[in-house]
Amino acid sequence: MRDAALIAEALGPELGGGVGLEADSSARELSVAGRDLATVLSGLKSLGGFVLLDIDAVDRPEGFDLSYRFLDRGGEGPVAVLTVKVRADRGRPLLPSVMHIWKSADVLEREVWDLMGVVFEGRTGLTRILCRDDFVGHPLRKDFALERPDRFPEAAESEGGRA
Amino acid sequence: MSDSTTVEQEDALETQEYTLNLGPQHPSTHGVYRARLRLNGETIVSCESIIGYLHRGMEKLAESRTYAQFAPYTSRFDYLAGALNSWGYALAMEKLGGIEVPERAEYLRVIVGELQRIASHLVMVSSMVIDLNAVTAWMYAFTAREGILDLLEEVTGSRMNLNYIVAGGVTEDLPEGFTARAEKTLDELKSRLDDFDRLVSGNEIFLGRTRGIGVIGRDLALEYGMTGPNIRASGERLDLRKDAPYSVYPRFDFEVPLLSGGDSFDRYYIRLLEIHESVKLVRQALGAAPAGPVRAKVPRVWKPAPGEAYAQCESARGIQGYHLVSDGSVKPYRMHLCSPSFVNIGVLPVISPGLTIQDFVSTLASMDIVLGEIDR
Repeated sequence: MRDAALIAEALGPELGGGVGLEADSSARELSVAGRDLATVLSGLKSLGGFVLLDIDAVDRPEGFDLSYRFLDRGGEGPVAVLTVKVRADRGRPLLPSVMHIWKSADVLEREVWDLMGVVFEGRTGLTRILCRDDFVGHPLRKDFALERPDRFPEAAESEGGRA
Repeated sequence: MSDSTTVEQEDALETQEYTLNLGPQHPSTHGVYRARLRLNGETIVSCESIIGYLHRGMEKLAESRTYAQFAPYTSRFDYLAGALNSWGYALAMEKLGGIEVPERAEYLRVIVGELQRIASHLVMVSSMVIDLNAVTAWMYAFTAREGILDLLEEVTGSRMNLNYIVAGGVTEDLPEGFTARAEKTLDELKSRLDDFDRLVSGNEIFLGRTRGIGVIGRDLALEYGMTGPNIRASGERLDLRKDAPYSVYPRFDFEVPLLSGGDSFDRYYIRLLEIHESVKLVRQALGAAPAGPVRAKVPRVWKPAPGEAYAQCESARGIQGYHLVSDGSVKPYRMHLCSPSFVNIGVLPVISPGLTIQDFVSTLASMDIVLGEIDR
């Protein structure tokens, strides 16, 4: 476990100026702007001792809040989670993919795209993973209508539009 | 015809790649997992994992239920280790609302949680051997598991979906005379496990099908975020019960087994070793549990302050994380589960090329996936 502020400081020289990076030590969080996400995450990789376990997204009126959860195994004391927070734009949710830096991001990014509709740029194979391929919409969004006849197009066709 | 001519002839043969769907309805995929394999002869050229057949939209469901109403759903994620899933959810709720857990409840959580881990590992070893055609050995492990499930039923009233560990503690205290009965079952378990170990672990055929098969190196495992017994079989000692101690685990004397081969056999054998450690934990917790209440008072209408909490615990398959976001109402604004099986199978497409179909079956079985928590 390392202090979030110290991690941010250690990342500083590698990232150069102009990177928006804020640290919250008590919550063990780093907040970063979308355009700097890949830079910060590859900085964490070269610091060493981190494992990317999870990416999850929350749909808020202000935008999609994504949390990248790392297991921090460096430093003294117990292992702890380090969260990197980033916000994706509501109208055009677009973030750089980090799959080339962290391999585990492959399935995790696909899940976020499938359920929340956040697009990850610069990678291949960003396809649905939990919902079926012809599914329409992103179910974890707050504006996702729970009942919609056009969700399964071919079912609607075969049952004369009653589905 | 000598062997060498056969090989030469095979090399000279022109072959054509073809696709084979392994699953979703297949006895060795442990649920509705589907692997789309590209094959050349019997050798895998590429593998694509296709999941989602058991997707029930649990994360969305959570948003339309109160925090307490959703708790029973959590044991339906990883249905072989339901108690450990509920534990993670309870930890997240406790973190979100600042709920204190009585000391006795922590001990009961360890008892039931570790019994659940034993039951889950027993399913893993038995389903692995039956995938490799060892039907007799499968019965040994399943009989042993039945004894554990009887204990769990005695405490919780249920065999599989226990709904026992809840925010603020546990639902029930141990029934009278439980300690003696548990000790007896654990003694029996030990002798059954020794039988199982003698039957399987040294068996020539079993070794031939698991040793050196589906090797996942330590670095690769870390790269793909693998956790749990799977990474501990690859030589990385990572166990939250030791590394980020929660509950009363620091008070107990137990080891985290470590193997370094990273092959199917090590992933199988580490489960056997872990069962012995879990037995140690249950015995210690039974002996040391203090008297007292087993559940803190949590208001019936529970409205945590707006905010969020992320809690992790060591489930039977690795590190699981629950993310709860509150907007101050009685229902979670967002609930997310990071499930270890989901992350663990990410590595399959990388290690599969070059394996034969039978090796793939052995590798998949040794990963011990549960589709309930992959698909959610």
